[in-house]
Amino acid sequence: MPFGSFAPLPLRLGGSAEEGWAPEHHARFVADLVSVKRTAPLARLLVNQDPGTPFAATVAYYSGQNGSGVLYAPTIAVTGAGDVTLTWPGYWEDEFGIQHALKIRQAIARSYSTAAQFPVCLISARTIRVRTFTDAGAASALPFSLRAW
Amino acid sequence: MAITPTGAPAWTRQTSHVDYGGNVLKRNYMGGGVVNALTDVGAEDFCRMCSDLASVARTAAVWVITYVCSDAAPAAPTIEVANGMTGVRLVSYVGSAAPTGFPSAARNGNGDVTFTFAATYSDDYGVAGAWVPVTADAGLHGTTGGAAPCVISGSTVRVRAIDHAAAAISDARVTLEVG
Repeated sequence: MPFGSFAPLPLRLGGSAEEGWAPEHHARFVADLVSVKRTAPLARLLVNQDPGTPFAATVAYYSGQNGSGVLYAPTIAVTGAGDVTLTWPGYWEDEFGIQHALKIRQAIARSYSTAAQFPVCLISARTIRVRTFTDAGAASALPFSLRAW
Repeated sequence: MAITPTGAPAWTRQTSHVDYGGNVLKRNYMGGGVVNALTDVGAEDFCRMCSDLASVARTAAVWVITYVCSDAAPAAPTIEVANGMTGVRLVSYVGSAAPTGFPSAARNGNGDVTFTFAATYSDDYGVAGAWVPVTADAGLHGTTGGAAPCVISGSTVRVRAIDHAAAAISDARVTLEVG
């Protein structure tokens, strides 16, 4: 019976370094994979704010566990200058059709400017409200990045 | 017989594709490529998996913590969520009574706390790896502007919650990422 590839499935641990997968390597792989999964962000995104009339904001970049590209980005609602709310769906579905419920617990926002900026986040279940302020405490309509966990 | 993983845990930043079983000479069994994508794992797929895990392990955060300062009634901050490479805790705890394996935290003043991390952590197989914080980034929660500058000293990270005028923010909620 011919075997394809480097090993038949179910994959049996062992063999040589060139044709197999040693159990010690497999153990390191799964231990580290779990470690990085525990601290991996749900998403990284960049939001551009347009201070025109009417005021607008758009997700310019999105990379999340649910996918990369703005098609996967949360919906965006603008309350006013420097005041944006992002809402993720209740769950996301991975490539194997498994649904993962979403609950955001942690976030860090950063504004982009040559002057000091003071962005803050407010988390509520699947939404993050980001407000951006200048060093004078006034609302600012600058681009900001956001990491959420 | 129990298996001891190769190499050191991810937070030591020393692992490479080789620790995961990758090998630049890795080849398919008997030189045959993938015959059936539904049943075969190709050497090419496997090497990509090892290389990519090494990449993300090099840059992944070691701790992501969200906490609330206790300033109205001065006390150690409450850690609401702690995602660490060695474990995740979604049940809050007081920084002065940290559960085993999670960082402690002490109050220095209004909006001003210091986290203390262990010098060594063990992975799920019991393999220990030394760690010292080298990067820290903190962001403030709330509806009024503020910042949370960090200072790293040995195994401690001090974070101060301040407004745009550099005045301390009492009872601040902050997310801290440490790598």
